[in-house]
Amino acid sequence: MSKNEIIASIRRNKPSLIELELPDYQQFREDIDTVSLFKQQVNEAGGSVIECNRGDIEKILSDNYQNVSEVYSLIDEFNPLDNRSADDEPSEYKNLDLVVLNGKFGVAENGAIWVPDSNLSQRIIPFITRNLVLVVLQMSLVANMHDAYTEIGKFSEGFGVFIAGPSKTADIEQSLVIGAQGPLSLTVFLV
Amino acid sequence: MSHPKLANIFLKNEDRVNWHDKALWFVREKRDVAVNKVKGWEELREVAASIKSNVLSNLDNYLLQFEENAIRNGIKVHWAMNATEHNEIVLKILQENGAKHIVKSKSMLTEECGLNPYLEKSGIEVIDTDLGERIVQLANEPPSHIVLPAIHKRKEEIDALFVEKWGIKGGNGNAEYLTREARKHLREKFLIADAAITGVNFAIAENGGFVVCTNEGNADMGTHLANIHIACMGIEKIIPEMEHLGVFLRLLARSATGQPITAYSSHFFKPRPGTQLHVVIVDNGRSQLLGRPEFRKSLHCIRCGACLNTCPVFRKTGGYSYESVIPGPIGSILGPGTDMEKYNSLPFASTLCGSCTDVCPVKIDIHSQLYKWRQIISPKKGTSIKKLAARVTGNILGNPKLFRLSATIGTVLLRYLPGSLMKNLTAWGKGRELPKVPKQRFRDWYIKNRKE
Amino acid sequence: MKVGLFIPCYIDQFYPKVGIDTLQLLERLDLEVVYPTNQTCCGQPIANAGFENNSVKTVLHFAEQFKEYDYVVSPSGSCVYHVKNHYDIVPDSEAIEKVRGNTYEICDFLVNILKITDVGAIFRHKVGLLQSCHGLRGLRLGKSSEQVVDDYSVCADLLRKVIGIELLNLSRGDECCGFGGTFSITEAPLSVKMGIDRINDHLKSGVEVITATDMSCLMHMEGIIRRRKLPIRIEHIASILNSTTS
Repeated sequence: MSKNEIIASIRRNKPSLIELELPDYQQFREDIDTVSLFKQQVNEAGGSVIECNRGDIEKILSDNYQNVSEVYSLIDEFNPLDNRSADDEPSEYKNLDLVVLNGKFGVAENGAIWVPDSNLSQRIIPFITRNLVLVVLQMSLVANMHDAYTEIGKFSEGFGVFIAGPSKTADIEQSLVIGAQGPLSLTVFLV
Repeated sequence: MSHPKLANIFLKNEDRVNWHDKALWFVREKRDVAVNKVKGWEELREVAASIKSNVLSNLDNYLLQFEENAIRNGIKVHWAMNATEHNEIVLKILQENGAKHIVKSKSMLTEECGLNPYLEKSGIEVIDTDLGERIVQLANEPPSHIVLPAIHKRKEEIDALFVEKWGIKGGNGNAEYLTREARKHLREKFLIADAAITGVNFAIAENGGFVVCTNEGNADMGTHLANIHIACMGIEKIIPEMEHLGVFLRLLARSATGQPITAYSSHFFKPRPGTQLHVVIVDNGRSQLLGRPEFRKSLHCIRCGACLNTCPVFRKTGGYSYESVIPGPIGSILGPGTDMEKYNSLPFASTLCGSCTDVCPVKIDIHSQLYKWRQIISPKKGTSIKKLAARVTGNILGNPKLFRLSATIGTVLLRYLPGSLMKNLTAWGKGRELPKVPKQRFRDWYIKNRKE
Repeated sequence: MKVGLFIPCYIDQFYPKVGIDTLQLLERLDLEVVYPTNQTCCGQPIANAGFENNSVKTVLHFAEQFKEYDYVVSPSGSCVYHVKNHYDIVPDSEAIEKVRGNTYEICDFLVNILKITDVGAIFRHKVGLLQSCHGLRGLRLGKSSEQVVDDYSVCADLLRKVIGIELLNLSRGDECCGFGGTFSITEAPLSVKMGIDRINDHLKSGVEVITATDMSCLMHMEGIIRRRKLPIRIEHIASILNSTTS
């Protein structure tokens, strides 16, 4: 069996054990303003940030997205008419114009937002929609990716994704185009 | 063909060379800006390299640990000794499920294994969904760069390609227009896909999960729509613990494109309810490489492409001059390990300037390995004139009397041979003058002025 | 302090002035400098071509020639790098260990051993520093553009103290010039293209004189400059540092 062959070959060829040193993540700690850095990084990633109170979310969404036909929300503050169930085929979400989700936490150094299975009803949702809105608590922001994984801790869900900005590509002559195969826009509500 | 021959073809079009060089230097500069914002960048590289060293020294156990945890999570794990077996495993999964339409996100491993042509022979449609990869796939070309597969193509060429293949209206090379057209085209493919194939950026031993990074969202569009996800990984993609992702995700995108992180870093642990998730673990020569201490570190590679972007040889001669799946400096040390005869010119396609080594986020001593490959390749190249010359030169340089005699001859030849003849005689003379020969060597001056 | 002067073979034959300037510069600093007249080469050209096993005799000869000196100093970062890093092909001996430890590139020697940056030189020109790669990334004579460390450069430290000099910035401060030893022959058109691009960068910055720690890089630059009759010239850094007339 190839498994045994591969393992045997590795055992024949590997060097003697080099201990795994415990990385000192403290040395990467910086004195930063997480909120302003996070906002800057989301912008640089091609997204935009709206700072507001939870109570304002519904109004801002209704004002900003008037001409969208298919909307899907998983936040308590915003409940557009929707009759989807988690059992739908993922392809049935193909015409979504707007998806509103809670992000678990944000990362200041790169503007990434952690969205695990438990914040989703279907994994495809944040990717297939034309426009994505993520609601992130200001209090949840962490400084860097080391802190991010401390925050995630022992993960027992099936899927999770860091989302930094809308989808993008620079595959044509290095010109950056926002909106590749995933969403065309990302708006972060920082509450 | 050898690197010099292919390079000379590329160099014939100087405008294109300059354009290619500039496009990649632009990426290198973005990388510089990004890494300079990270406190402790050099230490971060050090941490990454030490994790990778540990991984290679304990690879068997980490792989078994990964497998055990992945199986517990409902992932089906397969092992492939080589490219053929890898392809057979993937085909079998697809055939068992009657899958005909496949979408694939970027995976250098599947390029290495030649998966696409193999599946296509069995009547399976494979669509590369990374825009750059889709472009080269349409043009029936291999990727010329591991992160920017279509970096060698100008926007007008891509425009013409889309017009020809998709019958769309031309867009005068407008990147946004072309990207939107590709989006429409790929949407259709995503929606009908029976299975999605992805690579693996990192696989986590402690919990059996793995991470796939993209900017376009194409890996997620594929995997979350199709009912089968097959992820293909080389054995060296393992990291011990989830927290180590913090280190590698900080390094990867900054080194690759100058972004602090890719738009999507997707962590897969369990299949979506009602669907299948397969991981194929591939050796294909890697465990052999592990047994060569001088080249072992090349298995640290996280495929960021920074050494390609920084290398003046790559920038000015293009990815196709290497004729290897992975081009550029890292490819020049990986290639000879897989087929020394075929890739024997690659370790010489370098000035040993060392930029690749300094830019590498996982501290692979790339230029030192190029030097080491030269020591293995040159003596094996047969009894060439070069070898004889080196032996003669070696003897002369070890013997001061012979050295002085030959040096004098060289000097005389240079002084008295007509310049025009020299120009044609030597490769040096094609674009450069030879140095003017002085009347007196330093040694003679020294004896005259300090000893007498 | 007894200094052994190591003059690489191509400098000995083609650029004796660089050897003389190096010698005079060290002598001006009141050092006892000796040029062992039986020296040949460090073995680098053969080794970089992939024949380091053929250079064993050369390596042993080098060690024999220079083992008696406190320091071995040379106007070539590339050759010094080779001595320091690739002399592991012969069995370790006292002589080998000594030359590997004590061989220095001239600028490195001045700044880090003698602790001198001002050598009293005068050079009234606009100068561009070509960072020879083996000196820069091999001997760490300065910060490479890839590294994220505090900026430093022993060559720039020395040049900035030269009276009348104007040290100009380049758009790609440490890109390789394309010499690369046998690379300049086996990949000749590419080598020339890389050289042209470097020269153009200097020209665009208004440089009159390109300098470097390695004459091999400069020989390649000069070959292109003369062929194309470009309005720029080359000067080894030792020659600039030994220049004392206005």
